[in-house]
Amino acid sequence: MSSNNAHESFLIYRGLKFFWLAIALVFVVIVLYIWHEPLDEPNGGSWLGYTLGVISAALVLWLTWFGVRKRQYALSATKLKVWLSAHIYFGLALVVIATLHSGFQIGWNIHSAAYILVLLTVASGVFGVFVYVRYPKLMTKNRAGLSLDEMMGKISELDQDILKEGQQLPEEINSALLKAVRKTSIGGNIFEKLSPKNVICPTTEARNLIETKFADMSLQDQHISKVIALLAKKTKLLRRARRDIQIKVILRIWLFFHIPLAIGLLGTLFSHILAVFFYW
Amino acid sequence: MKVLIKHLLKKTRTGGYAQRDEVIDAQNVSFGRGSECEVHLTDPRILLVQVKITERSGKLHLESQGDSDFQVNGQILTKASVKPGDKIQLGPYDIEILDNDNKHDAVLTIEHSRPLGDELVALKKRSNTEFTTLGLSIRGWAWFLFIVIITIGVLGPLTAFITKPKGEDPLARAETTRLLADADHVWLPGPHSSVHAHFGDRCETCHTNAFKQVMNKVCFDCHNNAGHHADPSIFPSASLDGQQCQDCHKEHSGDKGLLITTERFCTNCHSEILEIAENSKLKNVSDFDKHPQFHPTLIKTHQPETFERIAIDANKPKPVDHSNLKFPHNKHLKENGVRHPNGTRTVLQCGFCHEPETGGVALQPISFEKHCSNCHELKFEPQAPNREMPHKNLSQAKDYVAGTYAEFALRGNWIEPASPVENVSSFRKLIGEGPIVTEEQRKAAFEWAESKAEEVLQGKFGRGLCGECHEIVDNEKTKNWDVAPVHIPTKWLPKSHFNHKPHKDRKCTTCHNARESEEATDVLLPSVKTCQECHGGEFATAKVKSTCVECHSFHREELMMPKEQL
Repeated sequence: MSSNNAHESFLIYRGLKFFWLAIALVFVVIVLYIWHEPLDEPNGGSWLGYTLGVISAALVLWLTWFGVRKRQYALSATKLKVWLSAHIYFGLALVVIATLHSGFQIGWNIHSAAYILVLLTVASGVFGVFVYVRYPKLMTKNRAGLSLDEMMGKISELDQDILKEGQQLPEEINSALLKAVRKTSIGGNIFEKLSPKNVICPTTEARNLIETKFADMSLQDQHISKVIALLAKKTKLLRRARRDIQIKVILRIWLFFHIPLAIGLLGTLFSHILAVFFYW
Repeated sequence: MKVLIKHLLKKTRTGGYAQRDEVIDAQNVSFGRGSECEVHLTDPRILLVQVKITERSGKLHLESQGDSDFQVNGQILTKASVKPGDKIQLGPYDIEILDNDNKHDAVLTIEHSRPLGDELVALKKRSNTEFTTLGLSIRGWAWFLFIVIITIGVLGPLTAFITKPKGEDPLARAETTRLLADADHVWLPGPHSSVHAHFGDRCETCHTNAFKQVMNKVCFDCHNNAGHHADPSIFPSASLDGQQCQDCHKEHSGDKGLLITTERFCTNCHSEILEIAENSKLKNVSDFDKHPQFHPTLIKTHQPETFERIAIDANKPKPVDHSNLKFPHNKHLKENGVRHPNGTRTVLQCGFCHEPETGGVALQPISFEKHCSNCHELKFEPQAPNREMPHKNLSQAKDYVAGTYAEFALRGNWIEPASPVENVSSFRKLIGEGPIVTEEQRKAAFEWAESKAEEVLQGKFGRGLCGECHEIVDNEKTKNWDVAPVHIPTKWLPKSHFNHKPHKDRKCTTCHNARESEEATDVLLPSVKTCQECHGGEFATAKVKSTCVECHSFHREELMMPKEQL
């Protein structure tokens, strides 16, 4: 494999090889479905229904095997990219095949649950693809060479300066600055990590306070203008640090849905097949 | 550029610094964490390359690298020219430019004034930047979901299956008070058809063995009259031997799947029937719009009984049904009515005679007593105005007539019509004054009655009266006559079914042209074109969608399937 291919995206691996394979599979299946004339309504129990069911079940097993395969670190990384590319496109093909297997029949039962889980698992996977394509770039851009630790170091350094400058300022400002230094945190619970914009940040509050109430004084008082500049730097760093955490969470949180849904799907698939043949 | 850098390391007790000098001779002097920097600063808050110092025309220029800045005498800047005496704050480091000595282009001190301290530790302590769980780990959620699903999808239904009471009457209403009785409902792929809904959750009624397909025997337990579609000895390709009921009859799709109603199911073979059954006499049909003309099955000869099928086609000779009755529908349906024996007129409607069955599917058979006798009296003797011959059969009628005259003879109250003025019984006069007592008298009376009955039956009140409605056959040998046997067909189209009830709001004459029928031999069935005015095939858009099973059954009861094979 040439070095060019090492940076080829998993989506366009080898000129969309697996995309075209999956399209071909879906095309064949749709043609069969249209050509097939079951005695009555399309149903999972016709010969084509059973065939599509076997293909779907095999695909589900193979797709979940990806979870095992990706832990086999001894095998080369390029191979894993091949697997991921195929995983994505055949996962999408599964939606079509499983839909045709269902014959568009939906009810409150284990059979439809298996189908719904297929849809949810693939949907979460699609979200994962979106995330992996979009966010690593944004993360690099946001970090601009700084690691989260470095950002936090800079923030605490600014805090030292802020406290120093605050000593000369009126009590109201100083206490706001103290709060900004002592209470500002990064991250937090899952919601705070995911939407940092909604977090009430003492640093922002202090900045707003000074900018609205003491802006006029900054012309005369160098300390105030400096504090404003320091706070602006700090809020910018905080935004970047929080954005960094947010992206890290987004890059990972979809797996909390994708993997449990996939394992749940295995359980549902087993129940579905058992039910079909138990009461054949 | 040659720069002397004095690293101020540690304050001594006297207030001075322990210091280390470093001379750098380079075009630019860069400060940063990276090892390529001329001045290597170890604090993690410093970038790999934080700032570069260059000399331009004797002045020192500072320029930030990357996303960083510095302060010169308290001012936040990214580019600056500095002169001796300026104090520069570079992150946690303080730099002071000293006066030049002769040996160096610049002299400066650098001090790590604000080492990483408590603020960073406290900030890290306050902050939660790690993301490892969402209540549970990924693996935890996976196990949780898997166990929940296996419980609902496998363990629950299996418990319901195991705890089900065995061996009860399958038709008995299912008891649902058991533990997890309804847990196996999640296995149901769809609702029962309404006809099987009474089985409730007693799955084992049909699913007798786990992991075994439902067999025909189960179906035949109730549906034991399901027949072949065609005689398999003549049409082996249509044989159902070896087929499973559930190949075609799909349960658990509500009322949709149990009976196949698509045209395609039939027309797969019947659109080109000779290709699959070369000895078939059926005509091809691909859709109700292309349905062949009706061929009613009509009696051809009575002895022996033979039948023929003749099309109802305006362009061909009209079919004739030899029922051996005479009945002009047109005379009975005249607009000004029919004459009643009592002199009045009655306007008849179809429903006077053709009454629907309970349920309304078909019409009840016509009965002489109920529908004809009101007008068509079977009176035969003016002196016995209340007596009517029984309609049942001719020999009974003959006995009744003879009996009536015998009664006259024995009672002696017969008035001979030849001498109506005499106010005594001419018959009595004929055989003596007194009542009939002797054996001879009695014998003579019966002989008279017999001959009288014979005379009547041969005349207009006998043969004439019967012949009004019935075909009369003469027996050459015995010189007797008889009423020809009547054959009223119950079905002219025996391979189809028709329900009159949904059609009850139409006039009878819409389909049955009875007002213009002069003969009982007329076949008053409508042409298929009449049906096609309202009914179309499966894909008709402006007509009632009517597929084959609307009128035809697939299984023919008279072609029973052999049960011993099951």
